[in-house]
Amino acid sequence: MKLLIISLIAWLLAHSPVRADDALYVVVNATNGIERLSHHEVVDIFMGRDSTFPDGKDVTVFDNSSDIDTRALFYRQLVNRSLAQVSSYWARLQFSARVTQPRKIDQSSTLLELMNRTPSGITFVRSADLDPALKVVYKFDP
Amino acid sequence: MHKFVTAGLIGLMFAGWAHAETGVRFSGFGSLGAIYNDSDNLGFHRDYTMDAVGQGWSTAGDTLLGLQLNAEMSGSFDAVAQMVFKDRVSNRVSDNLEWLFLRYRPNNNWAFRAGRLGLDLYMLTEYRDVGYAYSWVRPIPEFYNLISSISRYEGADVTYRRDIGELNFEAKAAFGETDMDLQGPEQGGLFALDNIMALTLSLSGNDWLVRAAAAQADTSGTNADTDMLLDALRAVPTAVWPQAGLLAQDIAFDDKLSRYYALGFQYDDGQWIVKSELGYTESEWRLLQPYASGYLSIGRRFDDLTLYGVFARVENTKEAPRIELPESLPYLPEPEKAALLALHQAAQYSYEVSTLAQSTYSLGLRWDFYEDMALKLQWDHSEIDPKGSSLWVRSHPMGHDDRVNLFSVNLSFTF
Repeated sequence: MKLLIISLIAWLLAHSPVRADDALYVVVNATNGIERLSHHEVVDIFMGRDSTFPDGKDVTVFDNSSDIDTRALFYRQLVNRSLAQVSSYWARLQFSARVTQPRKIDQSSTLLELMNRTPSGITFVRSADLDPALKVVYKFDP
Repeated sequence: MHKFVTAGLIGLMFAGWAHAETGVRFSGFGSLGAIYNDSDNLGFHRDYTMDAVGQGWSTAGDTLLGLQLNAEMSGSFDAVAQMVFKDRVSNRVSDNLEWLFLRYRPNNNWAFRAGRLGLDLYMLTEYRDVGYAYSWVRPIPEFYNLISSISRYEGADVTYRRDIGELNFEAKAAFGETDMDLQGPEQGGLFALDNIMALTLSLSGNDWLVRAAAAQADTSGTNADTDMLLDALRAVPTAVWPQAGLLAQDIAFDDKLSRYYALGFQYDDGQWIVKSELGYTESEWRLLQPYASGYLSIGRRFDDLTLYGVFARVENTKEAPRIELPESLPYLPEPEKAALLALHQAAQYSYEVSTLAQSTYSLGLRWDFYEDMALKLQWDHSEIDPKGSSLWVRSHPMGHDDRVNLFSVNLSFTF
C-alpha cells in the first residue's frame, strides 16, 4: 500500500502540469547585438519568412526537438498550430525549395553547444535550460 | 543550350559540396497510393506526363518518391537538386530530374535562380507532388492536370519580396523553355514550350494568401496521328478543297502562342482551411479551345483529423469550330468523295479531341497519425459532359456521357 502511494506521488510529480514560472524563452547567442524581438519578428524568423535579424545579419534557426511537449507548446504559442500542421507547412516550403527547414536538434547538450559556437544562432528553451551563453530576446506569456 | 546550363550547374553543385560539406542537406518526400477506378473506358492520370490507370485497383497513379539535396554555398549562393520518381510516360532518366538550380540571394528581398526550375503559376505547382503538404490526395485534376504537365522549365527567374506592415508581398518573373513527353486522351506526343514568360504576384498574412499569375509561351507539339492528318490535308489539290491548306496551318502545332491566367485564394486559421483557384487558358492552336477551370475546397480540422470537400469544374469557353464541307464534294467521283469526306471528318474530330467539360465532387479525410506521416482517404465523383473527357485517357473514342468514381487510399510522408 505504502509503495502504491509513493508510486502515485512520484507519478503525480512526474506528470504535474507545467509550473507557472517554467515559461518559454527565445534566445540568441550572447554576443548577438539584438536585445529584443517582437512576436511578429520571432514568427518571421522561425517560420522561414526572414533569413536575417532585424539588423540585417544572417540568422541560423535551431529547432529545439529535445522535448516534444516544449516544441508543441512553442509552436502553439508562436502561430497557434499543432506540430503536424507545422510539419506540413515546412514540407511545402522545403520541397518547393523556397526555404530550407531549420535543423531539428534532439539533444539539449548539442543545442547549447551549437548555440555557443554559432553567433547567428537562435532557438527556444524552457527557463530550466537558460544559460549565461544565451541571451533572451523574447519571452512568451506563460 | 539547356544541357550546358545543366552541366554547369552540376559542376557548381559539386564545387559547392567540396567547399562546404556541412552545408549539404538531404531530404525527401513520397506517397504510397492506391486508386480504384470504376470506369471501363476512362483511364485516370494526375497529369499528362504520367501513364493512366484503368479500371480496378492500381498503385501506379499516386505512388511517387522525391529526393532533394540542398547545398548552401559560400556567400549568398545555394543550389537545389530534386529528383521525382513516378510512373512517367517518358523513359528518359533525365526527366526524373525535377529541378536543378543555382540561386543567389543577396539579401532578404531578392532571389535570382537559374537552371531547371518549377513554374510558380498556380498555388500548388511547385509542390504538387508533395502530398504531405496539402489535405487532398492529389492536386485538383480539373485545375492542375494540364498545367502540371508543363510546370517545370529550363531558364531563370527573379523574386522580389518585402514586408508591408504585417503582410508579405512577393513578385516573381520567370523566363525559359521546356519540352515533355505527354499522354493525351487518345495518343501520346511530344510537347514543347519556348519563350515562356510568367509573372506571379502574391500577398499573404498569417492566415491567408491571395495570388494572381499570368504566363505565355510559344507552344509546339507533334504526334503521329496529327502528322498523318497534316500530310493528307497538304496533299489535297487546291482546286478540290481550297481551305485544306489553311486548315493544315491551324492544326499544325508549331509555335502557337498560348496564354495562362490564374487567381488563387487560401485561408487557414488552424481550424478551417479554404482554398479556391480560378484559371483561364487560351491558345492560337485550333485543337485546344480556350477553357476556364476552378475549384472550391473547404476543410475543417479536428485535432489530427482533417475533413474536406471539394467542388471542381472545367469547361471550354468556346465550342470547337465547324469545318465546312468542301464545295466540290457533289461533283467528285465516288472514291474521291469518300476520301475527302473521311479527311473532313478526321479534321473535325481533331478539333474536338481536346474538349474539356466535367465537374468533380470530392470528399476526403486526412489523418496525421504519426510524425511526418499522413493517411488519406478520398472519394471523387466526376460527371463528364458528352465529348468532354480529355483530362482522361480514353480506350474508346469520345462521345460517352460518363460518370466516374475514384476511391483513393494514400500514405504521404517526408523525411
